Amino acid sequence: MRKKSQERVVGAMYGYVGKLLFVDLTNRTFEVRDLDEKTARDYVGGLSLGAKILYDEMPAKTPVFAPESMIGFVSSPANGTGPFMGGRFTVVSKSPVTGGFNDASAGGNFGPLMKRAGYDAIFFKGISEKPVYVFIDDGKVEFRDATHLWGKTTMALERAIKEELGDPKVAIASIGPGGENLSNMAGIMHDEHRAAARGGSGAVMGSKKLKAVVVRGNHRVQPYDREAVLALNKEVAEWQKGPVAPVFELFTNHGTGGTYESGILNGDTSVKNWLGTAADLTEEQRKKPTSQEQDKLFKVRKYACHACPVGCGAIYSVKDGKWPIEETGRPEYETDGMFGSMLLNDDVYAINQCNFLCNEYGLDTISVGATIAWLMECYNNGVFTKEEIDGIDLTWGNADAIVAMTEKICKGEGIGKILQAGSVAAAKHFNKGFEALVHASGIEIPQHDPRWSPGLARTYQYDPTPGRHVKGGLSIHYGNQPPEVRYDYTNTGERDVNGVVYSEALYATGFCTMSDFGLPPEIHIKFLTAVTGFEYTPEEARNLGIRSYTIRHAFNLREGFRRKDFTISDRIIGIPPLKEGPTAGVTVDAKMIADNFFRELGWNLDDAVPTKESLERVGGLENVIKDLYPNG
Amino acid sequence: MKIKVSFVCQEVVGNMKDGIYEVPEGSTISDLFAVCEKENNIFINDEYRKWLLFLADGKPVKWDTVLHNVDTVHVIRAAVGG
Ligand code: SF4
Repeated sequence: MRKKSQERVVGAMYGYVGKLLFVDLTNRTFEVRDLDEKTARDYVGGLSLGAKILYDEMPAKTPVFAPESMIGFVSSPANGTGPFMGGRFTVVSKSPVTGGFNDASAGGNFGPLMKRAGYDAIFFKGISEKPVYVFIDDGKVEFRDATHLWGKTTMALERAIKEELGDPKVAIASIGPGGENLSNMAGIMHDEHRAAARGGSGAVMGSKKLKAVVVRGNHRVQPYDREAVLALNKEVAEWQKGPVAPVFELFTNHGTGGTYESGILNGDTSVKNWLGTAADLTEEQRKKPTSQEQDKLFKVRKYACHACPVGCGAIYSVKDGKWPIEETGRPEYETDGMFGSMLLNDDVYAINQCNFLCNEYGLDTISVGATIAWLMECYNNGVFTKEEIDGIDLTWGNADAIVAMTEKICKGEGIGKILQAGSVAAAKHFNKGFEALVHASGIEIPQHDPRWSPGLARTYQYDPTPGRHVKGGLSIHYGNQPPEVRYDYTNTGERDVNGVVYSEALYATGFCTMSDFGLPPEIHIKFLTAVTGFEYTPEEARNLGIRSYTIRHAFNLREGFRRKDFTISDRIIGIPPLKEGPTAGVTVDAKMIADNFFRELGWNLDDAVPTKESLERVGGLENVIKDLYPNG
Repeated sequence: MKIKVSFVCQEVVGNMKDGIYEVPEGSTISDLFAVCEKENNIFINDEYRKWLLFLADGKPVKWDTVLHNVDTVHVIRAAVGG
């Protein structure tokens, strides 16, 4: 590897610290290991490196809350090394919701600051006897009592820790009461308003009595070729001012929630627990929750993640109405949809209060909103009485009831204690309401409709981290294709796999999910080379993405999952089809799309197990081959 | 034919006004959009046009779709939130 950067301060590799930290919370011990160059090159970072470490280090079939269960905070080469939009880090663990692999990523500053603290990744196992937070201070590991912090909501917690440490600049990833209560919906909050929200990783932290991970330090990780990074950033800036200028303008001014109304109109955004259409809402009801309108009422200032010129975030302050909030993050599109059209609600004060409560208690707004939608449909169909749901009149669009139910879920009070486990677990608990469930392998579906963008059917059902709109494949944007293209289910395999290859490498490198518009196509691999010095042929770059997807999938296979175990609710793929609206009559041939995908990968169609040849072709998957083909 | 046009894509079309626009029977979406451009004195270049999608009475249509008995056209963005 040729050395190009002038200053090289730490680390054996460019773009990495070269160190991994493994912490045992039971014994309060830790071990520092080197990140070897082959693993870095093959698995890069984020979800991919995280899955590789989890696969190698965590015994198969470990119960999710057992001491041997692991949770990892994994940075990426682009974190803190200069690339625009490259600040994303990933949390990996087993999911208490699906029982399979889970990754959840978030922007903000935690990833870059974790590297400044001296580690590319921090993995925890064990269970602390008492609540604890772990402070990584310039390489040093300190276990600090968190008994007095247990029960604190996330913003208050971050502020208390900063005060305790006398440093307002530390980065903190923490759980709220939701994680402490082992809620399946518990996420991990950081930078006060950013969340690695989905799949229940907050509950895994909670099970370990790990209230927070705090990082700071002075390590400087150098990119291999700083000039190349700057030149690529220039290309990004030109791209954002050129071909994608209108979208850049939309997100920079109004964030993701700027697309709420158009999403409802085109059939992407859910209405009435996926039963309704735009026609169920008046024009005013469709417009009010858009962030264009909410910004007029509540916006205080905008904010951005590390090294991001888009800056899609904003701080809101709600000064009037029933639920005043001094400071909160602007609701994302997903949250607007979940607490808005999904529930036929247009009260933006209620949407902000629900968003605020979820963030403060550390719960995923997608799963909370969807669980309320499930209960709302059940209640309106007489499946639950008012008495059974704590006297809350959960009629469609009742803003007071939506806030009251969100509060119950966040606090785990009354029926909220059951609902904290999510809609699927709640239906099982009450043994009713199954017909109103909309989920993929047990996790609620986000605000993008496969009946509009059919590739999402495969992504939701079969991605190793199911039910995610940010995962690769034909992608959300496929919905913008004309009907004759998007509803032609033949020959989708190559495009689907290409989409996976792209997104796995994008996220492994540390780029934001919005890079799919914010970066010129394929520039992420150039960035990866500029930062790490690792060169990839087109075939190697392709294998990078497939390897990342495969190692995540292999985790699930080792847990015993096979194709039949990955499920998706009929309603979301148009069984039966909607009678009205832009997607009327659509039933997605989810099976054909999935068959095409597995065939393209060279995997068995019946059980979704990769053939030995396909694994060997990708390379770097020796442990997976050993586990799947023990007899050679 | 009088058609109510609603713009849900201000970052693409700027200040084009929602309202009733008149086009001859058998006009296409493209013809209707040209009328909107002319009446608003705002002209959208090809690069920006890529970001537009159209719904006629709630159904997806294309630039060359011929409009018959259409009451409302929504001009929306080809961009989705994350
Ligand atoms: S686009 Fe938004 S979420 Fe993505 S890195 Fe920038 S500010 Fe963060």
